[in-house]
Amino acid sequence: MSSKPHTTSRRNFLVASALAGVAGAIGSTARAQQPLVINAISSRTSFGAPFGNMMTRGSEFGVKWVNAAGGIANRAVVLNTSDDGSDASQAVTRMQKFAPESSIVLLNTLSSVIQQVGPVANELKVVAIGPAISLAKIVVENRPWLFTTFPRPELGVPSAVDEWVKVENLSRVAVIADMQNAATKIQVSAFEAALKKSSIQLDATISLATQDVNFEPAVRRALSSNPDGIVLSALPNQAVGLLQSVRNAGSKASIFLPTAAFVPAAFKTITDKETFSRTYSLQVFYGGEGATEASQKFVQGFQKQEGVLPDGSAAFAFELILLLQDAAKAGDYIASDTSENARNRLRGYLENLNWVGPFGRVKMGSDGVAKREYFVVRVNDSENVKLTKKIEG
Amino acid sequence: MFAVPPYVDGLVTFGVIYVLLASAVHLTLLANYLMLSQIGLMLIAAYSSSALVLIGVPWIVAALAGVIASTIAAGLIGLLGLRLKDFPLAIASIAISEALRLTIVSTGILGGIAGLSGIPKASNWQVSVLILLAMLLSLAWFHQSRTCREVIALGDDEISARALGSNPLRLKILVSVLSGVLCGCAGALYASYVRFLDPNFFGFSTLIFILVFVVVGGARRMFGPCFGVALLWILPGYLDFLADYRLIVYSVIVIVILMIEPGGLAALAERLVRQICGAASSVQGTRHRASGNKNQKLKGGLNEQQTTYDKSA
Repeated sequence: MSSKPHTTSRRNFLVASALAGVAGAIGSTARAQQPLVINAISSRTSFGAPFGNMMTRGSEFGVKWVNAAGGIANRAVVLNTSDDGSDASQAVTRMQKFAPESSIVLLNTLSSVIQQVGPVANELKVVAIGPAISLAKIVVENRPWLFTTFPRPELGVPSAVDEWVKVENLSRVAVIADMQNAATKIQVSAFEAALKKSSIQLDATISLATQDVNFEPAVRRALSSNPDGIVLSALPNQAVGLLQSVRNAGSKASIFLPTAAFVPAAFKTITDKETFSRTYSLQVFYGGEGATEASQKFVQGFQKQEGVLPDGSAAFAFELILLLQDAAKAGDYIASDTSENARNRLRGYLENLNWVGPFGRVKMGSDGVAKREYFVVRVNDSENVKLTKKIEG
Repeated sequence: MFAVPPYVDGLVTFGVIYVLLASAVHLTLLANYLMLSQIGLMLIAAYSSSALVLIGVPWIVAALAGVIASTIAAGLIGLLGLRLKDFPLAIASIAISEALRLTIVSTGILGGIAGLSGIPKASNWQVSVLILLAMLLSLAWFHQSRTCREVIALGDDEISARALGSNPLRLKILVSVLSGVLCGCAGALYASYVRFLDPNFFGFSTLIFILVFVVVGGARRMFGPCFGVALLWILPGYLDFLADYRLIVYSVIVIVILMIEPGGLAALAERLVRQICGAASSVQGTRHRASGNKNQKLKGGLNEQQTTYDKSA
């Protein structure tokens, strides 16, 4: 047995350090090359598919956009989308699956599904963000881990009604609304209050059910008092049908269509431009004349790639990926870290968000709901819209 | 203790909720009694237990009250059997569920269309498994009973069952009530796990979902709902890689299963077990013949073969 003490010569030390350095470099290169996976729950099938598919396509387009610009934190981004079938129980189990391995989960799904996913996100302390949560109540009730970049649709309504009434010189208005949908129901209440405040006579509020496909009875009742303005507050799949039914009935009344931002592709099917005459909407402006260069590029690129115009869901989902890229640049989205500390940091970033994206400024409210710039738009056809007023909502 | 990943917790809890609902449908289908108000009964239990919890009643008491409310409602709905059967009964019972859902949506009570929130969490996979075990034991006991045989006889032929002394209305109300108990358990469990009640969840699409579980699993077999849920609830999570083709593949799987065995997965499993047992006894018989003497082989071989044939038949 040798009694010689074990010592490290300078040469051995240098060789070992060099080897460790090479190994470290290989390791970090491997990490840098390892793609960053962003998990998303999406309603790609069943009744939520019209929204979920557009949101997913928006996110996928955003991922391509970000990867073309070098990815997030020098890592290529991969979007891992899991279909919840528009079913809350499937969405909950997907959130439970994703939460331990993510610091953020994108919710490209319906508000009614997110209502049930929100408590799980809070319980598992994972940042969950939905690009189109149209019911602010959901976010408020699931603080502090649930966020949305979608503005409160009801906030812009008073200013929009003022503008609409003034431009169109209205005196009598009727409302046709899906009263089985929480978001449209809230929107209608806001319209009713705003019309009352503007001293406009509200002839009638006619209720539709979400599954209604025959609009003739509702339209006939609304037109019976011969109003000069009609508010059509319904989900996108009904909005186009309602608009056409009103025009088919021979009415030339001015139309306010709050969900117009979500139906540009469907509007493409209407070739008669008379249908759109005197039609208005309230939306976060993401395309058309006067939009930012990035927004124009997005609309053109999306249409080229997907073959359809992007709707509001696609636009907001696209925007979220860009938001994450900027959060990573600011050091607040640590892509490789899913620890509680990293999650808290990302949550802090979102809570204090004051970010200028491709569709204007997004400022996060203390309730987790974004405040952003709205516009009243006159819808001339699916692509050509004219801004009439900017509203801070 | 017995901690599981959150994903498993959700998978098991929702799985149990769907097994309870599918078993509730299975019970009524045993009697060929198309009472399909199960989702409405679940709604009654979910909303009543949640309303009680929100005013401070302990969960276990509120859950029991929800189950009782659902059971009473099921008994009353069971009275539809006095006048209706087959498709008219199915439509009327579905209409009752829809009326209950639309009452909440239209009147705005219990949160209305915006949903009922703030329900505290009170259940997890352990509670769910306990409820499932209790249900399976009770169902096993019921399936062994004379009453169950009467129910099955009623399902096969109501006139014959009546001729044999059964009271069809009593049996129909009985299966409705048992169905109500299971729906009540499902409702109370669902509300306390999800912590939010959306009235639209209790719609027609959820009922279709449950019916698919029952039919694919095996509508007239006790373990049918378990088989159906085990396959069709867990499977979609593993088909994500198919993206837009996921539901097409899912539908093809359902069609193939039903074409192979119209009695569902439980019947298919029974058939497989019978075949395996048949093959095993056949092999055993061959060994026995090989070890026996020549005369015995000649004499007994035919008997063995006959026994094997009988078993596999």
